[in-house]
Amino acid sequence: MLEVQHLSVRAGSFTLSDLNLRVADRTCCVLIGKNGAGKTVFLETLAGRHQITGGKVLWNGTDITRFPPEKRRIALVYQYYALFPHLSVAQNISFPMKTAGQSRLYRENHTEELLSLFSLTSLADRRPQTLSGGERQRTALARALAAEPELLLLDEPLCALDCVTKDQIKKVLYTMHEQFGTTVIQVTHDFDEAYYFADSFAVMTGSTLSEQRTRAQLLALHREDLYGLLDGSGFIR
Amino acid sequence: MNRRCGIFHPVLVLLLGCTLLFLLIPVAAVIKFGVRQVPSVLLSDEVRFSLRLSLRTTTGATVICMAAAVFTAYAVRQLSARLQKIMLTLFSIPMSLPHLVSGVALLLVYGRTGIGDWLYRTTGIDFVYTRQGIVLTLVFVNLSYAVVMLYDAVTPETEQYEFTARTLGCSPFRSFTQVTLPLMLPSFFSVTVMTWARALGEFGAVIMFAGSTRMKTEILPTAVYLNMATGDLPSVLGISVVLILVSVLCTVLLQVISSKVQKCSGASDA
Repeated sequence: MLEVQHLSVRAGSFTLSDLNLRVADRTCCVLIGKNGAGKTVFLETLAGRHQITGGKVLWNGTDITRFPPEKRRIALVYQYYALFPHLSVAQNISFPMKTAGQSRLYRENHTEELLSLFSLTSLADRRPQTLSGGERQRTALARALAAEPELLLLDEPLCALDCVTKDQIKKVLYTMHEQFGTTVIQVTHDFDEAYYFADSFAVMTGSTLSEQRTRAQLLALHREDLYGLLDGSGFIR
Repeated sequence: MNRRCGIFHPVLVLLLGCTLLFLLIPVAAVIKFGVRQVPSVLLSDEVRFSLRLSLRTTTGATVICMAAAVFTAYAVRQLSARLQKIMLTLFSIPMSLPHLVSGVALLLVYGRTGIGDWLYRTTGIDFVYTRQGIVLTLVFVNLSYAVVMLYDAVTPETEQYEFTARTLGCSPFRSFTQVTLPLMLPSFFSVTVMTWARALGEFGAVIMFAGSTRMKTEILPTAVYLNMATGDLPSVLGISVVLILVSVLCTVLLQVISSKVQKCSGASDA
């Protein structure tokens, strides 16, 4: 279980304060927030990028607040994928395995499995810059899973995609979550994504997080209620 | 080219033509008057010596510059935004020095009165009026340029790639070698070409610090100066053409290698 307790962060001139969140194992927590609310900074902080000025991050009871990114076993998939442009699709996917010192045979076999799972086999030798948005997203997800993370952070994974590709990736994400059982935090500003994926959700507004709610509570909400939460007025009918 | 652009594009073409003519006519004049002297100057022991010394010192200085600049530029990028600005200002100081002043500064520090004296007494290395002095001068004159140019190669996107690599299990050093360095390659090669070309043509600081002793510390630019001082204009023109040819050949060669590496790495499309 991930527990974020009274977390405060500074990233340049941007600050977040008193963030609290609990995400149970093998569940998906969706963070909803408007552009510029600090969603990406929050994810990057969980992954170890920014300076934490207060509070704690606990993973299964272990305080990982001061752990370097490579020791956290938290993978982050950026909105614009951050695929390494000097590596092919297959090399991108096998990158975390190479880093972990896995044998060549293991890397080749596991990369093939992931390529097949994400329908990327025919694109294995292509460079990321020659791929479509959906293909890049699938590659980024496959690479993140290749690191065998305990927590997967997804930064608006569907926002830059057309509606057909969006549906495809939604199914991929759903299958991935079911198959690998990885704990996921996904940020979005799209309510449909929240309805689709969330086991729990929280709203990020005014540089902090609202009270966390369950999926049942989310489904009971009307859109107008969510607008109220996003605006920070907290209005719920 | 869009045909509806009115007068703007013809003016641009005219400006491009004027700039090219302004830059290339003097070069063409040197080649025109000096090309006939090339065979005779190439037969001269003095010119062959200075050509060899120029290539050696320029290449050595470029290697040292680039090795130092990569790590220095990267180190600057790791600092806070404010410190980065301060660092860039500091690096711009040697860049803005007249080269003769750079030579004087080197004499003060690495001559027989400063660190140079201590170095000579402890290690036997002497910089003043020596070949190693030429390399030191070329490094001093070019290093800050290389650092500032390579600093721009580490973009915020590169930092994001690097952080992503760390979330995938890389240590800071490994993410630097596996991700940042390959992404810096295109800039690295273009800065290498620029540094090499600048070092090949360096004159002022070299003559102040390393002098220009015939068959000892004489490089191509100082050979031009020495021959000019003795009124040997044919040799001046011949050596100048050799300098131009070597510069163009090596620059083209480095650019070919650079474009091939970029093609293989794909980093330029990032």
